[in-house]
Amino acid sequence: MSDALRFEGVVKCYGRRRALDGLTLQAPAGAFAGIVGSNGAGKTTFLSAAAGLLRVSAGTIEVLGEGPFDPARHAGRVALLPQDAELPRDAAPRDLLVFYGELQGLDRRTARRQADEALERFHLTDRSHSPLRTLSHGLRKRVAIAQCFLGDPELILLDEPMSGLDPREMAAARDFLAAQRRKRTIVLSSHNLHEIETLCDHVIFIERGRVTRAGALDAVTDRDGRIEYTLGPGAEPDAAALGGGDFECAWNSRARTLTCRYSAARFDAAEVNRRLLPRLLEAGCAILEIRRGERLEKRYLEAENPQRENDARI
Amino acid sequence: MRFWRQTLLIARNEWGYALRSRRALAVLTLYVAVAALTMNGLLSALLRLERELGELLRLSAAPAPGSVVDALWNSVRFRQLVAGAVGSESLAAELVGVSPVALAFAGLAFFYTPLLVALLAPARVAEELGRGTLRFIAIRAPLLAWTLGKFLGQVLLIGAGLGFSALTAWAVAVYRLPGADSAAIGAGLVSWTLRVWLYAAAFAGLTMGAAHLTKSPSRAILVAVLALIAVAVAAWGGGQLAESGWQGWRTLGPLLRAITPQAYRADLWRRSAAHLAPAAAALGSLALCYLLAGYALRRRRDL
Repeated sequence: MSDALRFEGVVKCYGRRRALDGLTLQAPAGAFAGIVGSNGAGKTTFLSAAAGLLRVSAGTIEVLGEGPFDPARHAGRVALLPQDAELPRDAAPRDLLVFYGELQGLDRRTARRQADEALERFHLTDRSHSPLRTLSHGLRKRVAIAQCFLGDPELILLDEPMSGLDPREMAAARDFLAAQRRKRTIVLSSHNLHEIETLCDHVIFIERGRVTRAGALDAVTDRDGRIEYTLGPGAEPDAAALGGGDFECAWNSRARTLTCRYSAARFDAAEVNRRLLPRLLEAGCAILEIRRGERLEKRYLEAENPQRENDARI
Repeated sequence: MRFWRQTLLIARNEWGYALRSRRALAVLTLYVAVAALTMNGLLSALLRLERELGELLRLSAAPAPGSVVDALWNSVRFRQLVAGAVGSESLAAELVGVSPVALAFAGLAFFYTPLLVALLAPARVAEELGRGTLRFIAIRAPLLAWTLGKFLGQVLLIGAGLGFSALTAWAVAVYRLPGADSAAIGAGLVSWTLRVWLYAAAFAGLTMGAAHLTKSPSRAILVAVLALIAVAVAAWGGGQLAESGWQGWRTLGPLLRAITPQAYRADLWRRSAAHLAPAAAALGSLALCYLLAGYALRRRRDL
């Protein structure tokens, strides 16, 4: 699979501070990649550099395999939801979307049709002619998201797309984004790890302008080799006996979790459950939750600061 | 081809924005108010002059307002007087061939339009830079298309502002001077409005180019006003240097003056194409040079 976005040793300095410090990463074509990092880690700088909004100090950027972002080559093929950018306050959503559509190469008729579709999709039809200054932050955010999906972009860069949306719109936006999976490459930055886990198939951890960990979400969270059972109070399982030579089980009495590691080459999660669950029930264990893999949050914290994570365990 | 389409789309959007926003109303009100007030003040002075002339000449019947000035303006003696003042028969003939009201409008508009341009146009550039609005465009079109499109849109807006102010000036003149030739005033105003527009375009290039250096609208206005002062000083200083004793300064002076719009204003007062066409070309080129200098500096920075 070719890469839709590739950074090689990219450095971006703001004065003496290195916002990107030799950032190297790849987002495969068709991937839905989630960018995770603490405040100031370089996520927005990364997305802005990818969209050609920043002049980087060193390194190479490849967008859709055709060099760094250039509107002459990439207009209409790359879309961006910038984090703190404001849409023109006096523009009406429909006029603005038609303008953006035409600007990226759509003819007027198509731009109008797509603007109307986008407004309907994001429940903005009744406000389509109201000036943006009269719209709430959440409604403006929906317009900003809608402009990303005009035309047929191959790569979409979304910086905190859900912030400011109400729960209903957040769910609708999440469903819409999930439906875009594998249709195009989407790179999404978010602090909401649950959102990343729900939507993304790839994950990239960035800290201090560097990638601390990256890969397929399943691999990062070990979803194909690890199942965790959370048990209620009462009977405790005999971890050594449960595995029976096929799996490696470990019991954490404090968290009351039974972690089972298995070889993905030999078993799948369903098979592991088929074998383990009857044994646990026979042992009188109360099963409260079954979870494939490790939580992304835990993986992120480990990657961010392994020492701190170890300290926390102690 | 795509680049020019994008440029025109951005210009059209700028124009549309102006029509939608309250700012456009403020711009037009400002232009119209300045034109109405200055024209009214000027005509009051003209009418006072007429009254005094009437009293001095002991005219039996009070003439229709504006007729004395028209008669004076068309008299051979007055033309000779103007020729003596400007030092050129041809320039004098060109000047007195225009309605005095239109000429006065031009004189005022040449003065106030650059100021209005500095107050209004640069803020639109800095505003989009500062609020990040440009990022939604930069992902779709080259920065140069944005720069040129904004300029084109603003120049059209200035043209509309000047058009409205000329219309207002004409209405005030016709109302205050019922004896004057309204058609001649109208034709003169159209002609001078176009010249002032050309002159203003150079200042739009200057102030909008300067606005590329900042992301704050208020700072952009400050920078634009400083740029106006700088070119005024350069135009004056260039003239002074051209007459200085040292050969080096005498060479530098005209060069310094040539890069200011003021150097071409005198040619705009002429009616012959031989003067107007080079002045128009020079002002257009200056506008683009100023603008592109600002663009080149912004291009090296983050958006």
